[in-house]
Amino acid sequence: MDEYKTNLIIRAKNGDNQALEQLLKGEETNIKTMIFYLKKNWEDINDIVQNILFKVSVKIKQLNNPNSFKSWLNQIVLNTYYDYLRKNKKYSKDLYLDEKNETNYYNIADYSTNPSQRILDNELDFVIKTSIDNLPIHYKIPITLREIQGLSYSEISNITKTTVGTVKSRIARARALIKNDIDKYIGE
Amino acid sequence: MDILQKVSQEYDFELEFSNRLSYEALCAISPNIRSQITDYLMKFYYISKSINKTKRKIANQH
Repeated sequence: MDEYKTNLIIRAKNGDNQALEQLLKGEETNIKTMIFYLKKNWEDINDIVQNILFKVSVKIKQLNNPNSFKSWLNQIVLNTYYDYLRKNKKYSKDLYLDEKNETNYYNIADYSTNPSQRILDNELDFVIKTSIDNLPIHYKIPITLREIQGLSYSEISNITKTTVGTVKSRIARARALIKNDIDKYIGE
Repeated sequence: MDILQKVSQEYDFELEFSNRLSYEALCAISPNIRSQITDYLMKFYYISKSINKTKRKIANQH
């Protein structure tokens, strides 16, 4: 982590609201992208992100080590996401899927009436997003933490309470599953 | 066996995205396996590029 950001975290932790605002603004895109890939549709994304940012602003004083900010933040992101799943049972089946569905990925989600369509403006992006949507949750979380948040295997293992070896194999498996969908799309 | 596992075992390095796999490491791999890895890494590149593009678009929504 760079010195500027560490300084920002320390200031936010000590009650500097301007630093906190700047810190949250800097994290918002990553958090929103993470939730976008964890969820199957755009519904409630802004609410979930605002909830996360609120929790961060309230709990930042409890952060012991500024260097562990990213892991700490992502723990909040995941806990909030799990809370959301529990409260919205229609999505909770995502928690227990062990195998990827072999369904036609064009039929999985309807992006035509929500902001996702503006974001996923080409077919390959749509295929990759849908492929991630269909991953079992224990693959989806490590790969999004790696790809979007840029966390190390060790940081992901701490957050997911698994071994580094498990994290590596789950990420490798997730990439292989996404690769299969890309292959289908490209027509290899 | 998955090609990534096979190569990891044979060459004892961790495969990551193409930009993290050195040219020297790639050259050390036999040509037939190399072509499969290149294919694999290209797919990883697609994933990474697509996610980064999505991130930029989400950032622009703010």
